[in-house]
Amino acid sequence: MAENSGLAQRGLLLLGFMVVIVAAFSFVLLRGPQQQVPTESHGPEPLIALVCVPTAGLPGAVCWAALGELGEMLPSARGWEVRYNAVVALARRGSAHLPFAVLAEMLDEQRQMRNFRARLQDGRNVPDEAAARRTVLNALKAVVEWHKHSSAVQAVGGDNAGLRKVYAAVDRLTRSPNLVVRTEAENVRLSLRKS
Amino acid sequence: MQPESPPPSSNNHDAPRGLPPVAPPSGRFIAQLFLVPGMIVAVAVFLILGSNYLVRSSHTPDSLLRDLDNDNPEIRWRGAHELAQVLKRPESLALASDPKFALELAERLDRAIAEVRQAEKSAQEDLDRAEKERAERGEKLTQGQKDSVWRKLANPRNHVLYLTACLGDFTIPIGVPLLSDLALTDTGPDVKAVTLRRRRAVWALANLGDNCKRRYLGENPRPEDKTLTLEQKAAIVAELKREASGTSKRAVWARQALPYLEKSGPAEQGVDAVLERCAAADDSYLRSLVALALNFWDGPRVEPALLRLARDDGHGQRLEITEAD
Repeated sequence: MAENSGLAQRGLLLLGFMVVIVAAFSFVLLRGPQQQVPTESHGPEPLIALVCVPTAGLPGAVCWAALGELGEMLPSARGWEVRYNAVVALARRGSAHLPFAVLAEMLDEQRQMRNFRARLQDGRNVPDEAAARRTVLNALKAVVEWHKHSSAVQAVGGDNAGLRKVYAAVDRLTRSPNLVVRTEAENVRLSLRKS
Repeated sequence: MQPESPPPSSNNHDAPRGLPPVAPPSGRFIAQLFLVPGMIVAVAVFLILGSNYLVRSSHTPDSLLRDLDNDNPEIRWRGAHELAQVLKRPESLALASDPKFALELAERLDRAIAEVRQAEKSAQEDLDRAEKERAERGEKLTQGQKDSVWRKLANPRNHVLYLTACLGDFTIPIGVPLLSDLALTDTGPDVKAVTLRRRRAVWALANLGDNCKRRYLGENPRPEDKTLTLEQKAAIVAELKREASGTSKRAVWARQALPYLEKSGPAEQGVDAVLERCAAADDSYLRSLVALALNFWDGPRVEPALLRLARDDGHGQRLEITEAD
């Protein structure tokens, strides 16, 4: 009798395990693809209202400080895909005329989140994180590639204002919320110190 | 004195109760033990080697070209599919560097381009005639009716796009003159078809430049890349020199590829100049492809073109081309 009751308990335990496994499997199966939508810093809308000062005449009618800040919060100007590809190619070739402003823009993670957008099934327009970060990582690689051409680096000079902006952008990326970007930026900073 | 070892157990002894009697293994049993698994393994190895041999023998240039030229569309598309798969593989380096094979495909692309241009011209004439007839009746052709005329040309157009991509997968720049022609041709009866061909040609030029650098010249190869040996390169150049004699298009293509491979002639067949002209296109997507392609080609016009593209203002229109087109 004692042996039989043990068997029943083990059977029930096994049944319990199976139920848990089936429940977990069903949950995974029925949950569907879900992705956390990346959060965005506040949009440019509040600044748009601040740009225009209707009570004053030009140039006082425009709040120039707000306009500058607004420019920073908008996506890049048209043609950024072309410019980015060209800048990466120039960096790889070690051009002494590399447009550092575009390279620094490529290293701006938030700007890339505004450039690369994806439309969800429910109609929401959200940042395409993967594409944005791929651009940032490509730009980091381009920075390293460009520094391999010592003649171009010498021609430009270490105290070049544009180049300093690029270094500052790399520094900012070492505090990125994304581990891959953060690690790559750290590596780039280390390699720049060595060179 | 050593203690006597216990006598080996034998069948003469009574087996313990509950256990079957133990018999020493016979020679036949031992042979079976090794022979049968050995035979199974041998058959499996034979099957794998046999299938590998069959697959490899079906990927010879001649067999691939035979399939591409087959009258049966099923065989033709299967051959095309296989070629597209095989050319990209690292182990197909010899095939992707075969000058004769590349020239054969270039001849096919040249023919296909001529045919498709002729077909488009005829289709445009038909459309013009139909529009004129409708206009006399006070009617107009709908966009759907016009599109249906162009859709009839889908097969020859796809054939051109397919061969364009194939020539970009080679490691030798045989396809450069044809790809350059496609990339620079910006007029035609159907703007969408012309735009798509230009984009694919520039993309193929980018691939070709990348392949040449990595797999022929051995510059910055990827870990999975196989590069050509000096003997293989010498054989390719010798083959191209044989092909270069004469005045046929084939000879011209071979002659134009030689300076790049021998690093002796003018700046790489002027691909830099071709891409620079494409960089002035109205299609912004084409310009971004040009910027990408300029990574893989050298020449005096590369940097000026890139500097211009680095200041691009996104002008022109970006034509969206879907599968339905």
